Amino acid sequence: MMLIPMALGMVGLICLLFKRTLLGMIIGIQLLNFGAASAFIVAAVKSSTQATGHIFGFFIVLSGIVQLILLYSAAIRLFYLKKQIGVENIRSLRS
Amino acid sequence: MNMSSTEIFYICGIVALLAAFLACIIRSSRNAGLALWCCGMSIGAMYLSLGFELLAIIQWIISTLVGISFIFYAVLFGPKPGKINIRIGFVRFIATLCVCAGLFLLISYCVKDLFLSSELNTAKIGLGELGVDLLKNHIVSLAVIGLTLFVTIVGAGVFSRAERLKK
Repeated sequence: MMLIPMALGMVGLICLLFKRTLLGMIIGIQLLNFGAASAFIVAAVKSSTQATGHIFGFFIVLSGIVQLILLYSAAIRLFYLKKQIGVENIRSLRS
Repeated sequence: MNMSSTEIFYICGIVALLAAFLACIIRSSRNAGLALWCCGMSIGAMYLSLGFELLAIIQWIISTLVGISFIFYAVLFGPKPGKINIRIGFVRFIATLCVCAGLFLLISYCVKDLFLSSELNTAKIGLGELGVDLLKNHIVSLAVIGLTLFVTIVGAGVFSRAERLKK
C-alpha cells in the first residue's frame, strides 16, 4: 500500500527537478504534498493511530495551500516585473 | 459486482499515478492543471476507501479549487509551448523514473513487511473524536497553521502588487 504514496512523491520530485516555470513547480510541489499526506494516511491505517494520521493529513493539505498561495504571488510578481514566469528570470531580479 | 475497499484503493491509486505522470510530462499548462485536478480527485477517492471521509471531502474541494486557479493562471501567464524536443525530455524522465523505481524496490526488498503488505483496516473514527483529539493534543499546531495562513494571505497580497520596473 505504501507503493502508491511513494510513487506519487517520486513523480512530484522529478516534476520539481525538470520543470522550468513557476507553474510547473507548483505541480511538483502539489504532487509531493499529495504523496506525503497519502503516506501519513496509509501509515495511520496500518497502525492504531488513525486520528493522528487524519489530523496530520489535514495539516499537510493546509500547508500545501500555503505553498500554493506563495508561489502564485511570486508568479504574479515575476510576471509584472519580467513579463515571464520562468525560474531563470528570478536570478535576473538581483540586478 | 462488489469490490472490496482494497481493490478500490489500488484502482484509484493507479488512476492517481497516471494522472500525476501526465501532469509531469504534459507541456501545456492548462492540460497539466486538468491532470493535477484528476490526480487530486483520485487521491480523495483513496482516502474514502480507507474510511477517512472528512479528509476525502477536504481533498476534493481543495483539488478542485487548485485545478480551477491553476488553469486560470496558466491561461494568464503560461508560456506558449516552445520548440523544445519533447522526445529528449520524455527519455530523461523515463530514465530518472526507472532509477528511482529501482532504488525504491531495493529499499522495499530490505523492509518487505512495511511496504509490500496488503492488509487494509479501514478507519472507524468519528468527527467528534477527531475534533476532541485536535483540540486536546494539537491546539498549538492548529494555531500555528492558522497564523501562517493569515500571514501568507496578507503577505501574498502585498508581494503581488501591481508594479512595473521603471525603464
